[in-house]
Amino acid sequence: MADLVERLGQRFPGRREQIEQLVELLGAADEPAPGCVFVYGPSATGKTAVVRALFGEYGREGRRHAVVSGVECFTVRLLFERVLNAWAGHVPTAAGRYGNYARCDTVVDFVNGARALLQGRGGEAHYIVVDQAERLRDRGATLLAALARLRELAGANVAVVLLSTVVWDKFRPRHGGAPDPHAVFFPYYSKEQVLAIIARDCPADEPERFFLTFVDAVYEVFHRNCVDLNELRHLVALLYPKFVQPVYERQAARSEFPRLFKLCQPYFAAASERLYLREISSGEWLKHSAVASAATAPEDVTLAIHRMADAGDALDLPYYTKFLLIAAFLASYNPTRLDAQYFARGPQQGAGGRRGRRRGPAPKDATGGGSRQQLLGPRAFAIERMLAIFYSIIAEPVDSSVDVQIQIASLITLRLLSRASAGDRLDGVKCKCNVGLETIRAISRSVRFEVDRFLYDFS
Amino acid sequence: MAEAYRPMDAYDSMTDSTFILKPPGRQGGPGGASKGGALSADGGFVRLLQGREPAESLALRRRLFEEMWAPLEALLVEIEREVNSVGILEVCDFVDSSYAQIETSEKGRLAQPFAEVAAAVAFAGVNTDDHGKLFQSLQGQLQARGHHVALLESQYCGLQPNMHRCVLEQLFGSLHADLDAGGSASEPRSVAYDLGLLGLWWAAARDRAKQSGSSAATTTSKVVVILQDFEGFPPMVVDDFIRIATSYCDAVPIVLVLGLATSYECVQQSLTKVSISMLNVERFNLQRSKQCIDTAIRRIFVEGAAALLFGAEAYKSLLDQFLLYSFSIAGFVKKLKYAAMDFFYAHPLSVLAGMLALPLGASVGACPIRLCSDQIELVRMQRSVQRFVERQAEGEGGKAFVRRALTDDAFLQDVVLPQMLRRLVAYRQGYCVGIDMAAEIQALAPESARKPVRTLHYYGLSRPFDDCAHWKALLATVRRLKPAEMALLLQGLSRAAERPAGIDWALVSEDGTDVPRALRDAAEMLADPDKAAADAPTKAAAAGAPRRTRARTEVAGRPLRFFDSAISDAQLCALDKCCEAVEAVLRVCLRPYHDVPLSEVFYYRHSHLLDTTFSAQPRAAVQTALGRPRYYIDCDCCAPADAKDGVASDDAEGEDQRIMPTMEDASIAYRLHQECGRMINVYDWYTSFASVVEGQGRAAPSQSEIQARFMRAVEEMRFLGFIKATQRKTDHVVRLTWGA
Repeated sequence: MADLVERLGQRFPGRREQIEQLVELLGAADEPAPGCVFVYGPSATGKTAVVRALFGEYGREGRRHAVVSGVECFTVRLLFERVLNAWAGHVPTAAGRYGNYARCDTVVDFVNGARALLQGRGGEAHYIVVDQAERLRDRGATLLAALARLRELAGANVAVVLLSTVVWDKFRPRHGGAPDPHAVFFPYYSKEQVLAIIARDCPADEPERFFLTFVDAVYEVFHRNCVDLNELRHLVALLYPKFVQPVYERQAARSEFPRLFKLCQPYFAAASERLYLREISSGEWLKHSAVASAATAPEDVTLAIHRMADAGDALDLPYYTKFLLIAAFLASYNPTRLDAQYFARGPQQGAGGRRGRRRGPAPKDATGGGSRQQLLGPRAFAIERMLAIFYSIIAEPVDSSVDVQIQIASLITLRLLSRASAGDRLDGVKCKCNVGLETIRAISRSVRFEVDRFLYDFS
Repeated sequence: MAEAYRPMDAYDSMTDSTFILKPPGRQGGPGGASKGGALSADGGFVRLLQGREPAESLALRRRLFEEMWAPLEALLVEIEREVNSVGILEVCDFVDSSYAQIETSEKGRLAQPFAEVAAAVAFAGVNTDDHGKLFQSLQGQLQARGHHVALLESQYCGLQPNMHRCVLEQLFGSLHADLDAGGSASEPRSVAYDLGLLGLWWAAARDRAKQSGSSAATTTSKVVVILQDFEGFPPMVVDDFIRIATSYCDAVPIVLVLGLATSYECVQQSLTKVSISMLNVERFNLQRSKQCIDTAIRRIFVEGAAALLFGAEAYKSLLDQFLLYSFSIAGFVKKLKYAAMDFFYAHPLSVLAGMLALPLGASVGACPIRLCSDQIELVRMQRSVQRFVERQAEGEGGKAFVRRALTDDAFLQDVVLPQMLRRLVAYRQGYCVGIDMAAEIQALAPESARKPVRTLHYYGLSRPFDDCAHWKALLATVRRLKPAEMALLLQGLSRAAERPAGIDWALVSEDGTDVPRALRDAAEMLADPDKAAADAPTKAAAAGAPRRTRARTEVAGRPLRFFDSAISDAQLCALDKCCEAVEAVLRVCLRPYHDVPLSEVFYYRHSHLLDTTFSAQPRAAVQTALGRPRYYIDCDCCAPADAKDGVASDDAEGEDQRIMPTMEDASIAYRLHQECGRMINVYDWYTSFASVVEGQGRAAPSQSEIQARFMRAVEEMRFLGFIKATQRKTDHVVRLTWGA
């Protein structure tokens, strides 16, 4: 057993304590297994990897276990049938028309199936590992309680290991019925551990110390905002080739770290955010980033990165639809009481046009109060109001034909507007505008409409 | 009338609100061939000219319509396919190359830390009604390359099990034999669909392929899942699907294609960080509906692939629907077809389209039909024909020509009509050249001044040459050219003018300008300006000098030449001449179509019909039908008293607002309910209804009759969906539409 802990401890730096805990809890194959083990901790702390590796070892010892995912088993039937398949060693084949070991639609079916299956196995421990176990909460009220007490129900030596990013307090069935499981917590990695893990990614032909210096720098830049190990690895994998590029292009030596960082600067500045948000995917980056090289000017690099992020991504709408969307935006963010000032075209307006701006109660201070609509998000508005604004801001007269209504409906299906009233309500439909100011500005520019003149309290 | 009566029991359902009423009597036609269909044996064609149209003319119209529409439809499909093929090809290539190592020379590359699913984001534009076709052709292409494709629509994928079911059923359908080979029973097995099954199936298929030796096919093929309308999918479902797909992408090469109508922002908004970081996205642009429409307009309207052309208003209506509202190609085609049907079904002169295609020297006998006297009379009545005939009167023997044209039907058909049609054909060829030349000049103009073909065509149709600012801007561009550029331009224009073979330039315009020749002359003059100046010394001396001074004063029009002192006077003069030649040529080619004989017939004019058919105005229609029923019922009992006498009074509008007791009950109830708020007190409604109904002085109906009529009217309103019952307040109903 110590041998097992030693092996796994080397594979997973910084997780030795948790591995020990798990191995002790689960015990030997012929010992009574704990009813339920709850492994939790933030994402990317090695929960799944450690548990899978541990059970991989157990599998080699001949212990029966089933690893299922809470996301993937979107019905209880899938969950139960997979577990029984794994315990029985049954693999569905084409010859058997992909039939499962047994059919289980309910908890009762499953418990009966498990009883029947485990009866002749003589107290040997069987395990269920459920990844993303927080999803089990959506699969019926009794499922979690049943799993937690499966050992009692099935009358067999069964252990359930739940993996989750959520704490047990959020799981506990409301009316009791489930004993609290044994909890194993996976904390965040420390800096040394992160470096030790990423050091394993180091390419074979690169010196490890040089690589680690770069990783150290990336960690120092990003760890305040992002401690997710996978994200750091992602960034390192994509940015390291750019960092080392000047060495191969003979612009700097490996020892000149300040110079290398200076040359790598544009990538950090322009790309890291986009890479993190996946505005540039790894595939696009690998394909196109070779074009931009540190040998060229930094402006070119920045430009190339911007172009990569914006490729082919323009919202093009029909002419009136653009105005409808602008009208929806105005209706969402302008207060109703100022509509007359902004949009009325009466004789009292005079030649100056709509100069009603700021005639209403002036905002309290230049940056606006906390209750500015743009900070609160879009407000629901009645479609009639949006149409009134639409007919007011559009230059030429438009018939209120069915086309306009169709456009509203398709804006809703395209999620540019979201419906705020019940779906079966035909009259007095209320909507919210789901589009940001920047997009609206771009749309307004394309139809030569000065949206800023109509916006209240935007700066 | 007895046979027109239909028992109402088939139509009094309280749940269905629409019934199809076929016109009575039609189905009992000779032979009774059309069983149940609303169209008669003639495919809906009826004899025009109050039934005096000969049968062969009707048959010809029908044949012409079919002959025109079938190739046109094929052409439109072809254009759409052609335009989309680039984007589709890109996506197919992406699928082919996904999960392959990207080859670069870059050093120090690391392995990707975690598995990512390859995903193509395809921007398909907001015209969602065309997407079905687009993605089906994508699916077809991918399948042709040996991939297994599932095409999903959001309406069937509201929940995770449904989505999996759709994916697996489509994939297994594509390799149906696999399942049948496994077992004898063919009824669907009661398995739960999940991607685990897909993994097993994939492994089995791969093993089988290895055994049979055709390893190449399966090692490169992928499983492609296309989400046609990403916006419509519930975000949680897609999110989970991506997470599940990631866990299988080691075993099964799954490629996702996300069809987006809006922008990438939508993906970022709807998916969680976890699943977005699992996608290896590449973006593709499939939205090419504008390009598609441009090509279609060029092929159909400018080059004249069809006999039917659109007049300015109808064209505007066609284009507006596209540009202002939908970007929908399907909508464009629908409108086009409707116009073509309207033309061939309802225009007695549409038979002339059959003569358009006749070759120049065709004999009289080759003409597919003899027009009847009514049709000939109709031809004579066209304004453009009258103008054409009048113009002939000026020549010698003109009087006799006019007399025969107006009195002799055979002469008109055999001599005058072919002449006019030849002019029309020549005009259309010339017009096509004109648009080409305008495009050629445009290529020299700055980016902002360029217009797409659809707009050029609109200018060409709608405005006389001198009124159009764009043509003027183009000419201004020409004036700014240097001699070398001008020579290039003239070459280009000549090429455009000579491209279509067999244009009879003498027929294109009234004065018979030979466009290619004029261009050639201008080019020669530019090539050798001194010779040209020497050839016409007097004229150049007379006109050149003042023109020169003008060139120096009018700076705005010609800045380059003014400052470029390297250009000699003779060259300046030649340049000026060239500008004039270009202007003259454009003027000839881009003449408005109104002057061309028979333009009224061939340029479709019924824009109003298109508008009312395709852009219905339900609110206005309902309000007129119920608010002013006399327009529909065509009775005169409710008309205002003085309007009945034929005297239009000033307060006719006010009279119109009054609720007359002679109106239909439902109409009275509708008018009264308009004055109410959201909640309507039924008793108040009833009292005002009664007061209106009793208002008709003589023989007031009894109380119980009024009550019965009111109840029926209210029930009708409820049935039509204007009001509904409510529990919130006793004796009230809720107004549902166009609330106050």
